Amino acid sequence: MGIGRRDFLKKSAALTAASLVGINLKIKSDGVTLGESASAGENLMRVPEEVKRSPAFKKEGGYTWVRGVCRFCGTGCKVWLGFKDGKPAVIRGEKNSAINFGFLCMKGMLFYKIFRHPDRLTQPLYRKSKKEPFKPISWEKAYEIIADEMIKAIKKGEWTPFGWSGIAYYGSGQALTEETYLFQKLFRCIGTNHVEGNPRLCMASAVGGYLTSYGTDEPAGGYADFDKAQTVFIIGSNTAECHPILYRRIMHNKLKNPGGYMVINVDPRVSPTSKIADIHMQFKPGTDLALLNAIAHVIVYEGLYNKDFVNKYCAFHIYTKGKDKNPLLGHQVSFEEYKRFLARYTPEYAAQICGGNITPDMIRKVARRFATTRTVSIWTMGLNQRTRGVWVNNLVTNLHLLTGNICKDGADALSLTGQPNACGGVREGGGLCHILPGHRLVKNKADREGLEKIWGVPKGTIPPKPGYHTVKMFAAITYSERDKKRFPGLKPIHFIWVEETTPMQSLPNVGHYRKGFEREDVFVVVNEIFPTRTTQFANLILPTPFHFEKTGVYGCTERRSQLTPVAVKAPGMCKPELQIIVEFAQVLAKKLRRERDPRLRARAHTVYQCVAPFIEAAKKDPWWTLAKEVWSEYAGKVTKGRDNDLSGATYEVLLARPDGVQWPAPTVEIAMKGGTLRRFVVGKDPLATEFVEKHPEYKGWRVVDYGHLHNLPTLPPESRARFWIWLRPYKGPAEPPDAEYPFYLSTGRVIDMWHSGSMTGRVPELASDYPYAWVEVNPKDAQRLGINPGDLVLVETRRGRNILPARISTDEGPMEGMVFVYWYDQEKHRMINFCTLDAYDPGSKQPEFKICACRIKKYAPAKPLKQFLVKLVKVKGGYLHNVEIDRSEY
Amino acid sequence: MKAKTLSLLAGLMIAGSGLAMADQHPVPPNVIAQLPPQQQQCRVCHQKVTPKIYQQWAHSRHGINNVRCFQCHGTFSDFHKVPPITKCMACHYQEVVTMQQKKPGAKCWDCHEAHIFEFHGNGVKNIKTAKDFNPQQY
Repeated sequence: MGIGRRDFLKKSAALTAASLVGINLKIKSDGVTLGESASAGENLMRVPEEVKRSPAFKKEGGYTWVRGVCRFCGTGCKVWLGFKDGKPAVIRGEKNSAINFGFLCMKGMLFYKIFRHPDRLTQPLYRKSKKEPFKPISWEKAYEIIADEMIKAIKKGEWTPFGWSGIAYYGSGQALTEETYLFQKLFRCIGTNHVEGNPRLCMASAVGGYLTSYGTDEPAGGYADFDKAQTVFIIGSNTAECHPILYRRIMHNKLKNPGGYMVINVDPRVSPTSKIADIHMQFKPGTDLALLNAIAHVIVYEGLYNKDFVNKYCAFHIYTKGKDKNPLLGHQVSFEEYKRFLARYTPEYAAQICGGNITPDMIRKVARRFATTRTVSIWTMGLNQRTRGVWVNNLVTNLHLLTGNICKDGADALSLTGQPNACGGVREGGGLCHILPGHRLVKNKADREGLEKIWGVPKGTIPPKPGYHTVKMFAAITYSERDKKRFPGLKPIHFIWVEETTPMQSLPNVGHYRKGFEREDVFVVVNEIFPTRTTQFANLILPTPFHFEKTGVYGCTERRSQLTPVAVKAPGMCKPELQIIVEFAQVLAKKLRRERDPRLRARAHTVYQCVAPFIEAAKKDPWWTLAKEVWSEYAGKVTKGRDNDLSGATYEVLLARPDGVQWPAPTVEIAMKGGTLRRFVVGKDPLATEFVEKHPEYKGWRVVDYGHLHNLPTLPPESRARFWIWLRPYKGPAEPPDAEYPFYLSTGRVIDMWHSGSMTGRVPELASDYPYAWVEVNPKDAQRLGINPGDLVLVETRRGRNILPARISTDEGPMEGMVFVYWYDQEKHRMINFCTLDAYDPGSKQPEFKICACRIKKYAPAKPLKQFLVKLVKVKGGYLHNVEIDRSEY
Repeated sequence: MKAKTLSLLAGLMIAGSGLAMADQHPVPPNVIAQLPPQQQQCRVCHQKVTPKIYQQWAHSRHGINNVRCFQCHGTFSDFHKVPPITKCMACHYQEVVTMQQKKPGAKCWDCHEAHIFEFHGNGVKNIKTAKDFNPQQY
């Protein structure tokens, strides 16, 4: 029963009173409870003196403000966190930022509400068996346990070309660059390349795309191109909800120039992004390769391509399996061969494959617009989360290269990053199994040795072969017959350290991989701020600081690095990850020294050496100085001379600038001006200018592709220093619908919720707007199946089932024959990743979250539903997750 | 002058920082929690109960850009029928500061009509929906 009006008034008064003393409040379904928080008089500010002396600190309007960056998407909005009476009380945008110009979305303006949320993890929690309750332990004890379990797992496994097979690290595009860098350094020094992270699930295909098209990762232009563009081509991106502040910029340009600024949205689902679209191309999921090749067909066959640009700056490549050794290089072909390849992709042919509302004339219209105006293309998961994600990335970039819509104002192929630090931390910081920091490759001997020299560790420390990619890594943890069959020669993993991410909600086909995390012979360490679907399977939970409670850099979509200094005291026993790594490494080194196996003993010194430069800082000031020193090593030494040179972007520069620095920024002078907006352009990009000076054969070139993969001495001269246009044929999805499972299932986000919802789900405003996930059904399908708005719908795939309320709208939603589900919900029957498919791109190893086959039917009439969050509950003998007590939610 | 403005601003921010009494939403939150899915969000209900305001918002820059009801009016624990001006400051800090300097006590919606927030006549007339994208138009 609900509460009466009298009770409601009483509780409203309690709320108002509580807000007077700055206490966080929680609304429960049965009323109002006061959450544990800082005491009324406690000052939560922790601002380093150096920050106080910098432009990133000010007092204004009765508030004290500290400047940092938002952590709730890959845009990189600059924010000011405001303190009132020593407590975080408000967030506003930075007006002088070239990214957000002061604007914020609801996530960015509200995240101050969860700093002292009562669900925060505040002490290390341990259990030997996953069936027992957790018990609080000290940090010293935690380090001992991790070191013992890690050595045990190393001994259970074996030494391989990728290092120790039994241990793994799984990081995050939300970890700070310093954290990813030091974590991967530690694991390489222990001796394994089992270093992965959730960016494998979000942007690996974009990396593959840029590497093959440019020979080097990351885009050529940036957000500023939206303002000079005439056309914005959005494909596979719900920009309005997933990058709202960039969408605002597009909207602003569109409204300023309604007739001259065209927005083309290409998506099987009409999303809020379509509200300002001039054209919405609705195609069957997985037919994007045909569509993009058809656009190229029109551009080439109608002679709309930029002949000068193509002749001078482009080469054509194709990869033929069996013939070419290296899929990143393939072999060169002529323009005529490319033209012949495109011959079959007539607009008529593509329209037939694509279905939806695609017509041959629509394709022609879009192709002509693309070719004759300054165009920026943007995309995210719609292209990346595909079994041909790299290919489809290439095909978008092809259109820009063909039309010369690149390396000039208002034109770029810009892959929007989902997470705040997938680019800066993981792509640049070496957080994947095949890459090393500073855009180095594991399998390149010179890259390994160069890094070992910088680190001062023995030659051969870094194993020579890449470790397991994400799907394979979790398969090695699950290690079922299916996994062994799928990956012949698979070696089991017995220890995993998960940093700031929740794979037990975010992996595709998660039901399968949960079996691995349930195993008693797999030791799971999780660094987290809130209980999640992954801490549910942990042996050891380490409490870590939230954003602004520690110091570090985020690098966003457009090669831009920005600093967030510590400003708030972390609750309880939380320690920053950098301190955890430095302290743990010393314990591990001691234990390794006592091992009998000489290979392990030999690693003791290497592990110590890995953190030796930071031991003093970790003791004296883990909140600021430690991060600054790690950044100095990473940016100053590791990126120096590399294409992502950040050596000019010191903490002093990053504090001073309102919007960070875009690399390459090889000197402080360049960094202080913001770095390099436009890559590859001679005179604008210091690396391009230097490249032309060093190679007189390219004298007079306006743009030059200095990407290392496009300048290998083995390449024919006419391929070198050029961008590559790739010949990529049409290929459909891994699991198209059939008679048994007739619908396409696709997944995505809503603006209010961030990923798994563990943070945003605890902000009252956001939680009340989207308390639970939905399945969007096309009105025609709903009518045919007798599904009414709000009805509970059973969604089934070959892997799992969900029961979700139906959202049916004539304004927005998926095309006929397709359903769309949000993935932030933690309630077991609404976790859509039980249903998604773990097939992956053979190039990027990124899974095809976006397409699989499902069937739907009405399950029950509409009824009220509640938000569900995983929480820790005190029980006899310690703590358990609520989902471990209520096994129906396990 | 600057000190005066800052103290004015300080007073203003205190007024909007939680010290201001929250209003009661006419329908209590626990009643809303009992509604079927898809009817619990502010904008779904208000599409019916205040259709004019809903349409004004939906066609505004705020509406197109997903600036939601709760970003200005708060949620049930901190609901304001007329939002405190501090809510505007998350995105429009400088504008509010300038306005307070020029016209102390003024509200944004004195000039930019509430929910429309038209900016120098640059409004949004045509919001596209699925029916606008049928194949015949091409």
